[in-house]
Amino acid sequence: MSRDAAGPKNEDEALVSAAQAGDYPAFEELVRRHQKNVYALALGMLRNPAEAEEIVQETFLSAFSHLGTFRGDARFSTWLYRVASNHALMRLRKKKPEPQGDTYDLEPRLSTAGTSPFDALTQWARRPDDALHSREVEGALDAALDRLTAEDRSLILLRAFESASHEDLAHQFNTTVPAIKSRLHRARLLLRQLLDEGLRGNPPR
Amino acid sequence: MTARDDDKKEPRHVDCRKLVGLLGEYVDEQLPDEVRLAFDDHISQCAPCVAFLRQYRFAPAQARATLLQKVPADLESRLLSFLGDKCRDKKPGE
Repeated sequence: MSRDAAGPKNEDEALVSAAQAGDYPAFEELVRRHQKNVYALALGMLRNPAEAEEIVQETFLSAFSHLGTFRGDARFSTWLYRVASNHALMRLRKKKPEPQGDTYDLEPRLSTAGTSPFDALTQWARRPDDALHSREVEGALDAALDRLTAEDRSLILLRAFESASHEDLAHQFNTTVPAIKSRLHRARLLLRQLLDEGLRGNPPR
Repeated sequence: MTARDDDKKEPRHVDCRKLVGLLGEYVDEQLPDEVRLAFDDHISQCAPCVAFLRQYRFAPAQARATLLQKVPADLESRLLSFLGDKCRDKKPGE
C-alpha cells in the first residue's frame, strides 16, 4: 500500500484502511505513531507508570478488536484517545474515592481588596520554549498535577492532547456542555495557580 | 447573571476580572466576535493580563510536554511484542 498520503490525518486513514483489510504491519505503524501520546495521556490521568502502560496495552487491544467499527467519522487519533480515556476513567472510578484535592477558592485570590488581581504575577511562561526542558518546570508541573483531582487532570489533558470537544467531554463525564466548560476553565485556572505557586521564587532557567 | 450576560450589556468593555472569566472561551475560540474584539482590545493595553493569558495557555501545554518526556524508551518495542502475540495472526474484530 502507499503510505505517502499527504498529512498525518490522511496517513492514518490509509493505515486504518489497510489494517482493517488485514495488513498487520499497518496496524503496527498506527501503534508506533500514537503510543507515546496514549501513554502520556494515561500517565497524566492515573499518575502511575505501570498502570499507564497497562492502559496503553488495553487501548491498542481494544482498538484492534473494534477497528472494523471505525468508520472515519472522526479522526483516528480522536477515536483512539477516546478509547484510552474510557479505559483510564473506568480504572479511576474503580479506585477508592480520592480526596477532593486542594479546596482552592480561586475567586478571593483574584479579588484581594486593594490590590490588582495580578500583583506579583511571575513571568514563568514568558519564554515557554526555553522553559520546555527546565527541571524546575517539570518538577512544579508534576507536583501541580498530583494536587489536582483526577477529574480535573483528565479534563485538562483530554483537551490538551487531542482537543477533545466540549460535547465529547460532556458525554464522557456525564454532564452538560456548559458544566464541562465551567469545570475545564476552573481546572485550567487551578493548574495555572498551582504551577505559579510552585515556581515563585524558583523560576525556570 | 453570567459573565456572558454582562458582555451583552457592555460588549465593548472587558476589565481584568471579567477577562479571567472569559479565558476558557477565548483560548477555545468560542467567544462571540464582539466580545473577542473587546477581549483583544483589553489585552493589547494590559501587560498583566497578557502574562496571565500566557500562563493559562502555557500550563496545559507544558503538562503535555512534560508527560511526553516520561514515555519509556522501550515502550514501543514492549508494546509491539505484546500486541504481536495477541493480534498478529488475527484480523481486526476476530
